[in-house]
Amino acid sequence: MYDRQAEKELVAQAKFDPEAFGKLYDQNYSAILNYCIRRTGNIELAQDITAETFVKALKSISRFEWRDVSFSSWLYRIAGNELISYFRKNSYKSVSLDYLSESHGLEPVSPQELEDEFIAAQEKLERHKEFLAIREQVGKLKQKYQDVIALRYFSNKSIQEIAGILNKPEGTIKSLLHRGIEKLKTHANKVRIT
Amino acid sequence: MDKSNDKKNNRHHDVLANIELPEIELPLRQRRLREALLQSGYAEKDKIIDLAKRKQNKGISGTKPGIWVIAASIVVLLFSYGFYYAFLTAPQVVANVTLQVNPAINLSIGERNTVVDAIGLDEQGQQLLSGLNLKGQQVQDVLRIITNALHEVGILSLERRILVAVSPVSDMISEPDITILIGTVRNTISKYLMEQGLLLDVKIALLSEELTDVVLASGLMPLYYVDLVNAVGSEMALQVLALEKESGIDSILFKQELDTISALFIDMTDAGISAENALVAIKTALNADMQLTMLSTIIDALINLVEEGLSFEEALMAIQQAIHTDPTLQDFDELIELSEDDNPYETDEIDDAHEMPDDDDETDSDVQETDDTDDQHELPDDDIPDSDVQETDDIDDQHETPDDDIPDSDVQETDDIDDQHELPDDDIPDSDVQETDDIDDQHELPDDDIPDSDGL
Repeated sequence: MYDRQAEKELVAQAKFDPEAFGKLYDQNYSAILNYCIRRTGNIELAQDITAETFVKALKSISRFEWRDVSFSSWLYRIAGNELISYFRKNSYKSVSLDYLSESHGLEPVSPQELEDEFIAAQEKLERHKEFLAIREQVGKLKQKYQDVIALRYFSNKSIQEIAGILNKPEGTIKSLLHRGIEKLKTHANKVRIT
Repeated sequence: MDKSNDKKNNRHHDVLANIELPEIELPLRQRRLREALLQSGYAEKDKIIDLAKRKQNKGISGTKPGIWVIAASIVVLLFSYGFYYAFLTAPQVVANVTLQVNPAINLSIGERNTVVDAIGLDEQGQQLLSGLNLKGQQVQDVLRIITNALHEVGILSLERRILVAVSPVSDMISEPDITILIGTVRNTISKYLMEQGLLLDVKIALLSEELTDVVLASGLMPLYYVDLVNAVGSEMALQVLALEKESGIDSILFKQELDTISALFIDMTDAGISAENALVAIKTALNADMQLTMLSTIIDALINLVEEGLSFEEALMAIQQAIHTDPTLQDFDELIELSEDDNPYETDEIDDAHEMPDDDDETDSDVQETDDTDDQHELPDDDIPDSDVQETDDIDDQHETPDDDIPDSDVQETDDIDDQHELPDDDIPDSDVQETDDIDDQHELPDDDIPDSDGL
């Protein structure tokens, strides 16, 4: 159950206590990772974007001011910007993981274990054929429609949360959502989502 | 909207709402990243890098980074003129190589690429150089000593960039020689970073003497212009600088936002907009937004329009129209969205040429969809036309009063002004629509920007 006050306190603590940031990381890693996977359909890329998101969050947490939206929404916003960067350039350069591995000693894990983990994840993703088909169609929409549809349906965010993440009025989000689905439907005969 | 249509609309929403989502876990990677993050320098970013530990135990520990920025600025302001003219008047100096990693260092280069002098441009730079005897050595040796010293004190972390500005002094150095000097600088730094497994971004630019002159006279360091010059050249960078006076913007504000202006300029050129047009766009935005609060929004919108297929002139006109309609810029986003939707070249994702008959029998161009509050509550029309059935929903659907067909409990009635400005995307006849899969980046921040929590 999301406890807004607890998260708020944790964020305040995380500004000077790395362990508190670690807790925030634990609470949000999976959600951000899966959001990125569902946006990109690419586990490796999603993992890089997720890492970059948390690196940037850690770098900037001292500047984070709690207003109307949660820390997790802020993470979604960072991830969203990283995704935009990827979609715009059709490539993504994440240096965080490499840097962290070389400079700050990532925990030694055998390459085989990492490979096994990746293969298992990839197989799991590929089993969701229906999702992947819809994701592909959503991925063809303009970015603004992708944003709202993915947040709404791929991450189960409320309109209010999406408005916070995208920093837009709720009415605009609803409109974008409506129009995004409208556009999606015109392609549905190819997708056969019903 | 009739009930059967409601049903079909609900069905489409339900498909999305009930889709089984993959839930992927990467526990090994998650744990490794966690530990690395918490051990990384990012967690200690407010810790001060104690340059003095290399030398005497004096100086700077315990000072916040912001103080360094202020101190560096003061030092630069105090010494820029004297520093510059000192170099100009020193006959043996043929070029300057200025590094900025925070600290900032200037190397005066003599003939045969020997270092004539090395000066710290800020307190950190001075501390770093103290005790080092660099004069008379080859520039590559000096750069290696300096980068090694930076590495030793932990300055070469990922979050930093190494900026290098190379400036010729008068006619003391030939073009081939300055090219060789730049190559030497680049190779030396890159080689060192590679040897150490460091992945810092290194940017090197040749700044014209004229630009250097103007920059220094502005009380800034040439390094601030490295990105801009790399993107558009010294000549155009000079014109960007001239915008301060042309636009009448507060000088301090302009300098504070110069990074942003440069980044936007570069974004535009990356998007295929010519440097000359980018300059026009920046001028337009500056004139509309003297406080520079909406500058990024305006330019981002222009880039989006261009990337969606408008010519620069058309995009600029749309921007100007939006500014004219609402000089306060409060509704700028919505007004631009309207323009995007009117864009005949906008080619969403759908290949209309192969599209199955839509559920409406009107031609889109004949209908001005009034994206009013009613629309917010409308579910999308049925998406899967039966192959044998041409659905012919009534045009009035678009104007009908709100119904209860939104299954989403989160969607509540609102009458946002934003939506009232919106026109439909589909108001162009399909046959006229050229398809591209442009990404709309209108929400985009600069790539490396962290979303401002203020906005949250």
